[in-house]
Amino acid sequence: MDPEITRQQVEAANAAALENMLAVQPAWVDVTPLGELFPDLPPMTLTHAGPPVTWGRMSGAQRGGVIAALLYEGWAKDPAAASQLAEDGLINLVPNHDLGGVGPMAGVLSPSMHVFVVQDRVSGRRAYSSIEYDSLFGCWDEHAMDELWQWNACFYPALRRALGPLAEVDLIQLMAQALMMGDELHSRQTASSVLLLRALASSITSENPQPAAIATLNQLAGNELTFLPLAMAAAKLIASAADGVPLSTIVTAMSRNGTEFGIRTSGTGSAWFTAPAPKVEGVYFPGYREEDAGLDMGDSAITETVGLGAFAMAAAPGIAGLVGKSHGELVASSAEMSQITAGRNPALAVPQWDMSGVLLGVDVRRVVQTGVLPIIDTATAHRDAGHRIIGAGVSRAPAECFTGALNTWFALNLSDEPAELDHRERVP
Amino acid sequence: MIASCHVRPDYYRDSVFLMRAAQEVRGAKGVLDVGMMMGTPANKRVLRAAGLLDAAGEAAGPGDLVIAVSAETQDFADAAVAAAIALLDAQVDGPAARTADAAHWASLEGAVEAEPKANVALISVPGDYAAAEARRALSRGLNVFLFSDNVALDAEIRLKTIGRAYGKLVMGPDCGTAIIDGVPLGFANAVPRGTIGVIGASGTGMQVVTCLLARSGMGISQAIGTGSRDLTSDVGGASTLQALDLLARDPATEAVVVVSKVPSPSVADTVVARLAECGKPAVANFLGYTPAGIAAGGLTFARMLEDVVPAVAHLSGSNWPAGRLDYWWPYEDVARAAQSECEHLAPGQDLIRGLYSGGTLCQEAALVLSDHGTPSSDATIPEVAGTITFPGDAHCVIDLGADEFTVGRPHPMIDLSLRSRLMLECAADPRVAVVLFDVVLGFGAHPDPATELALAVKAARASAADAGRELSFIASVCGTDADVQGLHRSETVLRDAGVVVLPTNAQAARLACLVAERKLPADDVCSAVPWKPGGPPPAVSRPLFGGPCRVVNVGLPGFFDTLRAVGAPATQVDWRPPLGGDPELANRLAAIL
Repeated sequence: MDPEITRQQVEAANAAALENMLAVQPAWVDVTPLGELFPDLPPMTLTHAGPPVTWGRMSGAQRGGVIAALLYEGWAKDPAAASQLAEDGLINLVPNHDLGGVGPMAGVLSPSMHVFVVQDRVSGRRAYSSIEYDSLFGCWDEHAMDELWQWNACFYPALRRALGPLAEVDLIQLMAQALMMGDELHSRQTASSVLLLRALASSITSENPQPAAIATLNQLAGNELTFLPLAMAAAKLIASAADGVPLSTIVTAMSRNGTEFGIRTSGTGSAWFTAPAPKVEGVYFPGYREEDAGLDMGDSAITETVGLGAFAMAAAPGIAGLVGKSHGELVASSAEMSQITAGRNPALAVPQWDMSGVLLGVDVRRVVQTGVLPIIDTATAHRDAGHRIIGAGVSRAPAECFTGALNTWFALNLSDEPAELDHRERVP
Repeated sequence: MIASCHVRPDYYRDSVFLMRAAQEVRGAKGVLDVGMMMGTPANKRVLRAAGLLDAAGEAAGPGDLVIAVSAETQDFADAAVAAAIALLDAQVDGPAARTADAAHWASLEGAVEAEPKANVALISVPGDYAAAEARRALSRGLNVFLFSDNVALDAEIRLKTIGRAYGKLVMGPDCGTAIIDGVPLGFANAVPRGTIGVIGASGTGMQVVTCLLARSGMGISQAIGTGSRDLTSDVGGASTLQALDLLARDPATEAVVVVSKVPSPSVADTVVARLAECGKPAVANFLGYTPAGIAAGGLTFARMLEDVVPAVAHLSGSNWPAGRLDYWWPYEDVARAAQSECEHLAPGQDLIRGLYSGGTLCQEAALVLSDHGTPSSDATIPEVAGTITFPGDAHCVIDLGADEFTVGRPHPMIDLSLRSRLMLECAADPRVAVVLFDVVLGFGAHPDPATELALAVKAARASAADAGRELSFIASVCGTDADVQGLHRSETVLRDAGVVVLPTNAQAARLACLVAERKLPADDVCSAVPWKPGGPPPAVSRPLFGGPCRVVNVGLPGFFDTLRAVGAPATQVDWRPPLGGDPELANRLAAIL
């Protein structure tokens, strides 16, 4: 094969993948229990963040998430029984990504838990995500379980009713506004959450009994991450639009389960390319130290996959303290990401970049060539089960994910081809 | 003695920086030797041969940095490693600090997107990765200046084939110098622009010719390096022929000069045939090689580098700058110098030791010696760089810039320590009469080589004096007064140290022969042959020329600093190996990126 043709084919494939991503028009259309969204899930199924993992290899915090979910479903009467169920291999563990969804942190969701449903107006494809509960950091104490029950019994149903008269909420417009108001749409969702509250306030009040309306409005008023699941689900729809373009080297998922970091790319099907999850560099809440920290975790890196989060750090001066860096450093690291991305998304403009769009399409070729590894904003969970959030910071995707994906790309597409300019070390 | 390695995984610094840092740490108390290198198989061999590689170092991959120390005690070794790490982390203009600078990029692709008008990629990354960078530069429509050496021959052939197919010129690999539209690439001297186009398969040869032209009041339209292997039968002169076509079509070029080390005869014949019909007056210098049966319409042969300029001057007819051809020592001066140098030598002191930084200058000296009937023999090539065994009973000229001497150490035009040490060794040998050497000035070279070599000469003379001997130091300086080091200034510094400084290398080598043999000179004349004019050049577009030359510098930051200093538009790629450091993956990637 003429290498030049190959190069042009890859460029064309990546351009097509980007075009598919840019065509997505994500809108929030529903709130529904996961089990209703997927009625055919096998019994005893829980979803989880990251690439596939077994109970035996699962990180502490994600195990905590499993225990909380089993308690919530009533499949286990106490934490010990829950652990035993998992230990015995009786729980069916499915990555959220395999269901077209994403879950924050541990990402462990069960059939009775509600999820936000986001739909692409153009293709009709759907993605889901969930509020970032304490249980998703691995906590199952009384407060954590209360939080789960309140959301699922009160707030989610109230939001579903509130959405009724609106039919849908356009997410691109809302995210574009939030970027102008200091959000990077991963760790900082302050503006987006307020914008969501503004959009819903009237119908929350009109469509719900007063006690439910008041409780829900209070919850939204006090939660600075309400919008996170909507941003994540929108990002999942955008990223997965690039799936399955032959020859494309664009990353369509980055995700971690606290044990492994995994990526998927457009031209390599559903294979995960994994490496040990990295440490999170950042700051800790009082009472916690670096030794307590678990490794990088959560499906939320889907936001970076479409150029939000750490890739758009320039938009969010307010986040610098949260990750223990200066704003200048954050601006530099998000600018650095332009060296590994294929294009921009003009619909999501960053004011600090003279209204250039966020970066779109991490290109495996460029990551391997430059050695610039994708940077990710994240919260930090405890290394053991049973804790809440302990800190926040940034992580870097591991190199091996990208070299693995590239080597597989070569095996798939150029397996018969002797390497161009192949030159092994000369033996004297 | 303790050998101890510290490995910093997945961390890259360029070899020039690492060698300087290692040099600095080497001076610390209790430290015997220090190596700082990327963990490629070739580098690990060097460290292993030096007895510096322990198990940790052996386990390092090509993308990992190895700090290898031998010291008297573990404490000294630990202190040296700590000092090395401090140097790595203290360097403020490192890749991390540079990301904020808009002119700095992590890959060629980023740089080219930011500077779409760039027309040349200057590549100085390690040889294992250089072909991949060049390949990608060609794909992006750039001409390539490939400074890197240790690039495989088959890779060079393939690159040049691709370059020709794209209409792009590949200068190199192992290309030391070029001047494109007045912009110096690599090692080059500050010379005026003019009408002479120079093509060189030898870096220093081209530097000498451009400097001598400048000294004679003539300027350069373009100077195009082609790489040291271009005129071998394997490569077949691919870049030289392509450059010749470019110069033939370049309206700013009125005459063409081709300079090379001794080429493959068949390739030389091809080049000569093309030169003869290029439509412009031409001078060829193949260091003594003269093709058989040349009828040569507009073609003149110059035997030595110094013969090129009179030949060119002949070509320019009425513009012959006779009064300005100031670099020929008159007979009386040579005789006086020979006599005065001979006076101090003892019987039995009759050998010449040539310590060269320029490969072509070294070959030229060997040619002079051979012309003189006193051929030189080779030095024993060392297993470990730095240990050189001279033949006991013959003249010897060595090119310290050759690959085998530059593994793990900077080029002798930058790092004068090896030459300084060898001067001392020569002074200790009672049979040595003359130390013959070159000093190369210009961009990229040592900031003040004359002063440092003058110190080495003084030290060598002192040690010989202790042994009751004197010996003769004879040199030539390649440069111009516009170079930062200054030609006149450098010559004066050397003369003050007792060095006999001649205007050209061939004259210096001839004087060395006379001194070694205690002879007086015969009357030396220039060997240039008159020239007959050729036809006018066709007017064609010039992708490489026409300027301004915009460079993407991939690798050594010093070249970028030079480009900025001369005001040339330039973009810097802070190169590092691809993830994992696998050169094969880099090559495969080059085909699709």
